[in-house]
Amino acid sequence: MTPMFENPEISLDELPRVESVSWQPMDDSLALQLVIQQLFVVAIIAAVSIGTSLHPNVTFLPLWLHLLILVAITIPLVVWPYYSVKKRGIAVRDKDVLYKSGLVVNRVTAIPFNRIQHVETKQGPLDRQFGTASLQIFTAGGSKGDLDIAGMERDRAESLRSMILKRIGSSVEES
Amino acid sequence: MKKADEWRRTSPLAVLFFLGRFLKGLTKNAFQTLAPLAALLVTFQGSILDKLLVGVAAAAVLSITISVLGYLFFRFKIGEDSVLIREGIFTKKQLDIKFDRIQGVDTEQNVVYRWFNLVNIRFDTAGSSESEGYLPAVTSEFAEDLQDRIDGRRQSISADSEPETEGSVPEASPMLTLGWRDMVKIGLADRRALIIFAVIGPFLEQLGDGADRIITAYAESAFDRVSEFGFAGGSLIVLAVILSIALLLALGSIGAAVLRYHNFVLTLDGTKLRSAGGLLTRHQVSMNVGKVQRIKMSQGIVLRWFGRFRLSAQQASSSDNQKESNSFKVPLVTQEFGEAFSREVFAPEALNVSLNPEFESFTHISRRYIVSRTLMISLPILAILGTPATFAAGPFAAVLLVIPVLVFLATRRYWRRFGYYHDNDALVRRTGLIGYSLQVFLFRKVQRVTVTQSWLQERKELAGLKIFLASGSVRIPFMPIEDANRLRDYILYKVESSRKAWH
Repeated sequence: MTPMFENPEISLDELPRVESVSWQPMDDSLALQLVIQQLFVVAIIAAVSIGTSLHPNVTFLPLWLHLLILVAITIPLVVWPYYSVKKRGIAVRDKDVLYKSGLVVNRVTAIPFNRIQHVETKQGPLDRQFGTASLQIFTAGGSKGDLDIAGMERDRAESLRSMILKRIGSSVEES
Repeated sequence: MKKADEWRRTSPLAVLFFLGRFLKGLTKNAFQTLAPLAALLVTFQGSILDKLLVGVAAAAVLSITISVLGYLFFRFKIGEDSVLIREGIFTKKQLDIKFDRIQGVDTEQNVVYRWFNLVNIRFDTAGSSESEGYLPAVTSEFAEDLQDRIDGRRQSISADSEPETEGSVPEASPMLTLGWRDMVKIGLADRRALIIFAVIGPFLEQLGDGADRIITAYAESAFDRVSEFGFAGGSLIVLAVILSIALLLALGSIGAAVLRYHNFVLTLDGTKLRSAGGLLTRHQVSMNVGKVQRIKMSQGIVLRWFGRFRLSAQQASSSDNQKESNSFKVPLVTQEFGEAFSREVFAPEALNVSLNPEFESFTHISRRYIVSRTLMISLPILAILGTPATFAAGPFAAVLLVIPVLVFLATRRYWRRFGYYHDNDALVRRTGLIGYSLQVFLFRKVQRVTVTQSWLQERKELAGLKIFLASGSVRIPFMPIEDANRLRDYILYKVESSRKAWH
């Protein structure tokens, strides 16, 4: 089992660079999904705030001001997903999986296959509508999903999951 | 070891263990459990003394019965590759602890057990949040046998882990022993010296109004007497009271240190770290060197004054479950010991790094860290305090501007001390505001890496590197993006080319 020990010198400049990978975008429907999620929250806030302002005994803000504030809140919430999704991307290399995200703070996470504990795909109600799924990758020491990649095309998510599972199995060290 | 596959009981003295566990459970939710007893007392006719006697007797009978039953219902079996435990009086519990999942076999020996050469075994199954297994009151030979067997099993599985010397040397010479002078230092440096107050406080409250009244009455009469001495004398007495309380707390804390660490011995035999210490109950903790994820060495203000550190070797843990048991702790070490310790634990890797805060080749992070952090901390404080302060104090609210200045000074000091360097195998990070805090970990044990860059950092070509270990994460903020990316790529290379087990 023990492989022959070899220790070739590695030049640091020749190490594979994360920056040079080609990032795969998320599913096209993801932005729309996020917008729907946001609007759902906005709708609840709107219902409560308009409801209270219509009540005869409550007179703190006029209705038009309410609407103005709601619109002011809604616009960024609706615009944000389109830009945010553009910044997201996933790349799978031979030995690790990479995910980048973040509009204001750009974040690139790398998880080597031989450190992954388990993988899950999840489908919420919106995912089912749009035929997407989110992929969650867990490593040791983390609590919730260490990497939660939302809005992947369902088939891609499934195939990536089974590929990772195969890799975990093949890189047997010690469990 | 006796016959392997039959269900066995432990020694009858395990009753003590169950008694201890029962009482512990009792104090944890004192009110729920004591309420029925109290109700019983109220209905019982008789004088207070009788009531108390009956109460104590009932409690004693109850707890002894439960402990005996607990012992009678406890069976265990050492299987082929696991420890099986059946226990529980009303709710039955079946535990099947696989040898592979056992990180360590820790033992505990109290005064009574020492007479009979018995120990309580606790199986440390890191990473799983389910309840850990105990084997109470087994002979210490049995514990050692079991430990050898678990280790042997693990080695036969992993061909890659370091070969251990056969039947590892029983008496390895100690790496470290702690004497009574060290106990004083540990006691004084212990944060619990402060926590004692927090613990005793609510207790006093629970004693109820009665005690409160007595204390206030006593205090009032004391103050009456104080007034006779005049103001100067009075404040002297108050000072003396405060000092003696502080002294008592310190003594208590030192006492706790003696209880926990008396005759502390640390050994490294083969690939196994072992520590033993304690006055009444002797705690034995062991950890396999290969399981160490990171070594931390830190000091607070007191330890800095003594020129000492506390050290911990952490193993994998699930972060929502930061139990004490997940790290191997040494309460008091010199800096030189820390260096030697990390070298021994990580050998033959990481030979060119050491836990020396004075080492000169630490790399600084960017100076921009200071301004960024100062603004991030002080702006919210000013925003929250600013308006009410202006209302209340008018122009005097300008005093608040001291806050950013203080934050700036502290951050600059932190920045000066923040540094990192690495060799081919490991990285050392140094931080600290009052004392130093150093940590070292092996690249090949890293779980994942994240590089973050805000749009402000992007313009200055800076980025933060966050390295996730199985025992928490290490952050290096505000380093040149080029360095962060290179270090990330190198770590990935080390992890992905590693064929050794990471835990």
